[in-house]
Amino acid sequence: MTAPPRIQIVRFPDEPTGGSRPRVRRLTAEIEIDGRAELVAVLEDERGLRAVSSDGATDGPYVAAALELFRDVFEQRGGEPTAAHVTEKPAPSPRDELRNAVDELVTAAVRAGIDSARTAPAFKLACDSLVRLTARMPALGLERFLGRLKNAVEFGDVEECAMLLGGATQLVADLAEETPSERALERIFGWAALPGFPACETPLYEHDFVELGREWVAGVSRAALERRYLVELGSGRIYREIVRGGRGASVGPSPRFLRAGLAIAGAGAVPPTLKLLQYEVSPEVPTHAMEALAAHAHADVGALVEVFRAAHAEAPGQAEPFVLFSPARVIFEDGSGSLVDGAGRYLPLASSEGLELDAALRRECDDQVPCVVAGRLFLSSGGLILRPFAVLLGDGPAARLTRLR
Amino acid sequence: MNELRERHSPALRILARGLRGEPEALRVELGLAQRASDRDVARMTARLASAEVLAALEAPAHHLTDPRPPRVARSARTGDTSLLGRLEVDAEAELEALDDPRTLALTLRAGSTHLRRATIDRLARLASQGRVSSETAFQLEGELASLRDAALEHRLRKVIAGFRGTSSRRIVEEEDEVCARLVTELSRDVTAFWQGERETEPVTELSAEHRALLLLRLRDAPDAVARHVGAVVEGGDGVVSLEARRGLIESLRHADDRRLVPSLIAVVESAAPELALPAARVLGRMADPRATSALRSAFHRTIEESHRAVVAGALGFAGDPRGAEVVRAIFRTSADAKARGAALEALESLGNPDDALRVAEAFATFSPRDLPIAVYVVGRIGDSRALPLLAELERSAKDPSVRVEIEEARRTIHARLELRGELPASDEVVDVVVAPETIAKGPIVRQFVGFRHYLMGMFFLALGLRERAIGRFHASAEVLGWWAIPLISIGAIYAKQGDYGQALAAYRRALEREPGRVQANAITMRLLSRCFLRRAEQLIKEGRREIALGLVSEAMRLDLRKAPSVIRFELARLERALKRGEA
Repeated sequence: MTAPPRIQIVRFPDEPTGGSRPRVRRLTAEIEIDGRAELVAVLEDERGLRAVSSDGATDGPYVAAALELFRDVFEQRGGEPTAAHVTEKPAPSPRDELRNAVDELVTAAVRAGIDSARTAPAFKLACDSLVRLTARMPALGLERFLGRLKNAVEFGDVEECAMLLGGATQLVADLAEETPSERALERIFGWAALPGFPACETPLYEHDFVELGREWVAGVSRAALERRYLVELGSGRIYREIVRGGRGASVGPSPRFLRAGLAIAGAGAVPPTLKLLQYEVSPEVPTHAMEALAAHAHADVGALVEVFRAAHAEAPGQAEPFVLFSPARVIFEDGSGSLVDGAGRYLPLASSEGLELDAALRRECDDQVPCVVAGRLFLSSGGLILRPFAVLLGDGPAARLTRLR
Repeated sequence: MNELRERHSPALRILARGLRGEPEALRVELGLAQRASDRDVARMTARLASAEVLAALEAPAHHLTDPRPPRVARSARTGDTSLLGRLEVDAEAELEALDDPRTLALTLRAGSTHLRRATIDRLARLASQGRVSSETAFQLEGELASLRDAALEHRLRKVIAGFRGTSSRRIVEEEDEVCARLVTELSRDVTAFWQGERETEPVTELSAEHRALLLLRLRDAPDAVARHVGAVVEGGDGVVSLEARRGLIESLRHADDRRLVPSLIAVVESAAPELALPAARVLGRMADPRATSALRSAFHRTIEESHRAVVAGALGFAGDPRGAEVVRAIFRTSADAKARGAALEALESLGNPDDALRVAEAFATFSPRDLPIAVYVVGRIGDSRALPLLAELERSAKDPSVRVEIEEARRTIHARLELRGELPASDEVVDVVVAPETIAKGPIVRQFVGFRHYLMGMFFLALGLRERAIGRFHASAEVLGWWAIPLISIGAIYAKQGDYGQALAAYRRALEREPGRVQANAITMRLLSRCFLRRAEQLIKEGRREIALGLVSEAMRLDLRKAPSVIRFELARLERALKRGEA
């Protein structure tokens, strides 16, 4: 076998300085043969010299090439202690670990292809190494990303994977910057709170909110994260309170009216995160609050498309937009429903996931046109669909806000 | 979007299929150097693909169904085609054709929770139209205690309360007054709680009776109260203990307020089993598609036997029978008493007539605590073969609760038989007990035992000993659960004797097992179709036209090509006449 090109071997000096020769324990190389590349790790332990490629093979041309290249480097020398001042290469920083692990994940996913990623060992290994990272740092955004990606791969949802991996690529680029910009810092914060990086948070004082719905979503495990969606009544901005395992969430029913004396909004995700620190809560949602919901609702499906695009531009890989929509009419045909705007454009309601929220909405509306439907926007076959969480019917004192989810 | 991927978007195509094929060509397509690394290819692919997806987004100008493939398959109850079976599958539509109070009283007694609820709604509509007499109202009042369901009882009372002189009117008025006062005080306490003026949560502090009354009528309470209860269910109040929370969830069994569905779903999806299982039980009775959806997901991800049985039972109440085989297997074979107990409860909603017989045959194995439940389940499933076993149990039972259950079970079984136009088997039939161990044996042993019983039956039949023959055929049918021949033989014996009501029961079971075989046999179809016709005529003479119509409609849904043309013609004529009210 001919030696592959572009390999540089670094040799340690024959005569050690300070009395001890540094000892190589592991090397990882990207080996390319006939246009196809594999990562091969070569290591030496009590069982001797071994190699394994990123597709899990312990033999084959890539493994053989790596062993041939590095065998000399691993020539064993017994009994010589390692000098105290000669240390192994310092452990990578959390930033570099995260960057490398995410980069590896993107590479493994694209290499295998979404149609096959579910069973590709390299993809699984890459996911597992990210899961291990989430145990070592506050990274709810990363946990959620992993949950979404695994679900998308499981169901072969290429478009969703494209959005997620595109966001992951942006994260890699942001982490690679020597001095990340303010926007990059915000994006990074949406994924994880890295040591040495600023917390991109903004305090909010004396704001009123209405909670519209809750859900449990996948993180590193099923239903690991609880999320509550709240609308700030002054601006119409939507936030989400997110906690792992339901612990540490604010108290109160859903729907609820909240008067927050102090809350902290976190950047880097859409909707942005919200931590409620000082607040009053009531199960009664006052009429003026419901009127504010109606005032802030979008009436145009085209505007929702722009909202979706803007969300993904603002927080790639961390965007799950939640909107208020005021339809001109609602139609139900062939067992599914759509909200229709005044220009005759349609926003289909999610039905394939089997949550039956579309059926619940139909039942609540009972032939009335709802004032507002609040819900999450999803991608589906070139268009958007809405998973409804709450519906506002009627107006004035007769207005009624009903939670669907 | 598939089209976008295949024709216009190399990035999406690569993302879907991976870096197979010609790597250099791929790199060129993406605008990269020929020798670009996989890492660079991956980054560019992801970047381009996400940009293309966003660029291609548009708002459609027509209605679209959600194109994503369904993630959880729905499973509908495949009911039998008898009147009762059709009522169970589509209660609202089928009940519209029923206005005979006697028939409605039978569905009230014999139907599932869903059917009984729909029957009460039908009665309410008839009452509002003045089509329910006072006499009927008083008769319905007598049925209240047998409903065994506080929510159904409350609903029916409200219907009966519209009639003067009924005790329900007085009871409902009193309860209305108590409830109104309760809700006013509670609304005040709830507000104080959330404003921080009250430290303890008010609902769990109510007396048991008041809490039960409040939760029974929760759907009439204001949104703020319902939301507060939802918050306590989810643990969002911050003060109630796990024990108290579980007690509250268990008390919601008869609440029937769909405003609580999201909170209960949240508990089922995320809470520990000691809360999730009671919440699942409540959701099963909620008659809300969201509830059924959540229970399906829970069923598919639950592993522990006893938990699976509970969720399966809840799904059964919601009309989805997917857990039936699991529950059956657990009941038959599990060594875990808790799992077996959960399976027994689940059989109320999932059990078939054979299950009723198995439970009845196992009466002696139940603990004193479980025996009343077992009798109740047998009654709710309602198979006439359990009647002799109930009679036998009644002779030995000393516990009053067991005796009450036996009486109710007997009445429920008779109501089911009446709705199906059947009659119970003759008391003179000589039953042959089949040991449960035989059912558990391998196929070869079961075939041998089953055929032996069948041959013995034929032998007794040749000797003219019909009752002994029927007993042997029943045993054969029990051992060989897939075989229709013994049941056809039973049907033929009864049909030739003119016992059409008994024959129908056997023929129906035969049709469930091997419908093709039954309907392809001319001799069988001659007897079977005649049974339907003759029994319908008997019921018309008794004034039971609706049940007669149910029978005739059921017969018309069979493949009658092998039935005599005269009977086919007469069945069709009778169906038309009954629908017009002329028969």
